[in-house]
Amino acid sequence: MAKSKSSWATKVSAKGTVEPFHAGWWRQVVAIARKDVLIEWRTRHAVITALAFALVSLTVASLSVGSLRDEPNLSAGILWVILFFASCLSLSRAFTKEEDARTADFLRLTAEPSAVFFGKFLFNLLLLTLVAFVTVPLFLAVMALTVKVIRWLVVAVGMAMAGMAAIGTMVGAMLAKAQSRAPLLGVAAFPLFFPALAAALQATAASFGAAPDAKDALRFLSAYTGAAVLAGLLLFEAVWSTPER
Amino acid sequence: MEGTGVVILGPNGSGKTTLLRLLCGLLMPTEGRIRWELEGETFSPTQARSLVGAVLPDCEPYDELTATENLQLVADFRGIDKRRIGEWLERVQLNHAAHQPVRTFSSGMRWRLKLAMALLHEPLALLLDEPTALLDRQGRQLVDEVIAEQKRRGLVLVATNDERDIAYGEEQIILGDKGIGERHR
Repeated sequence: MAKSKSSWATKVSAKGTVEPFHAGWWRQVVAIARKDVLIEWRTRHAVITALAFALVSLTVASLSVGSLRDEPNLSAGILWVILFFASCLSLSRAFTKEEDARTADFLRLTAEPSAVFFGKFLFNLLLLTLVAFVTVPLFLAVMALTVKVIRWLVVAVGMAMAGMAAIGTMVGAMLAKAQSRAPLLGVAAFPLFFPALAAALQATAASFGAAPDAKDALRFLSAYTGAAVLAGLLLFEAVWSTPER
Repeated sequence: MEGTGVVILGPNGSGKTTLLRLLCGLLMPTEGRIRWELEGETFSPTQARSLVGAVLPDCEPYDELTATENLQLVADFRGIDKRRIGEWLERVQLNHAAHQPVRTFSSGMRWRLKLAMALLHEPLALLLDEPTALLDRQGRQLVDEVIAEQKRRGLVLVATNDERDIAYGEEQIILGDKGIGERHR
């Protein structure tokens, strides 16, 4: 044999895995995120679907309610309905496309589960950030809203999108093999995302002038998002890999 | 079984592909356990993935990426120097199509790319499912060379129902209706 026992056996550590946050792990994370960005750039499927939904929803909302200048709570509610469902539309494809194209097993055979989660999470975060970047300013313009404290709005949207990306990545992997998986993601993710959504609503409404302070809501949102990402890193292998006897 | 070839024979539906997927850890057995043994040390299929390369159906490259980009993915996942990608594209006779998206490939070209993706990290064990089904004479020659080289490095498992492939293995496992029926050396 070309290689000695020690070189082969040491290649397989006690857990047989690449430890998270080591150089090799980051290489895998970047490769997965870059792969998804490249494919999305060439197909533009998820971003067009999400933006089309957001723009249609904005148009309908604008036509039906007109200006929401004096309705900060209602404004926040409508904005987050649009953002939540637009996010679900883009997140539902993250793993279903792997199963449909029969590339999921290639990932299972070659990449670390935690790296698959974090790479997919980073891509989903990029996607949702893009959707929010287009949708939120348009919403403000169409609804003639004035933002009283812009940093609260920015942090609320950023943190909530990150939390949605983490939860959506986990739930998307769980549902990838289900039959009615696209609509299921919104249903399955909502209970997990609800606490973050409530905090995001509160902080967004405060940024529109509904309340004098958003710090508590933003602190909760940040902690919840951090916990969602950590939970994904720890639990993803259980939903992604084949369990062993 | 190091330094040897094993041919898994059986009719359609006998479980040849299922057996290979079990060995890779892509399926869980309903009974019993699967372990890889390397000179006294045992590994689960998941632990052994760094030692194994597999060319399986339902384990496909990315259609929207080029051949080179697919191999770059493997290099990143396996921690391999990307300079070897060019060598392998030439080896599997895909250097002329290196920058074409895989969705434009014929079935034979796609199989060659999957072979390169399975061998890029020089695995100890190579699992092949129906390796010659989609290949022309040149492709069969490539498979012959690859298997001969792999036997010098380690183990080859070939699942097939083509009698011409029997020569790939010094040992044969024949699957019947009730699982493994016979073993021949």
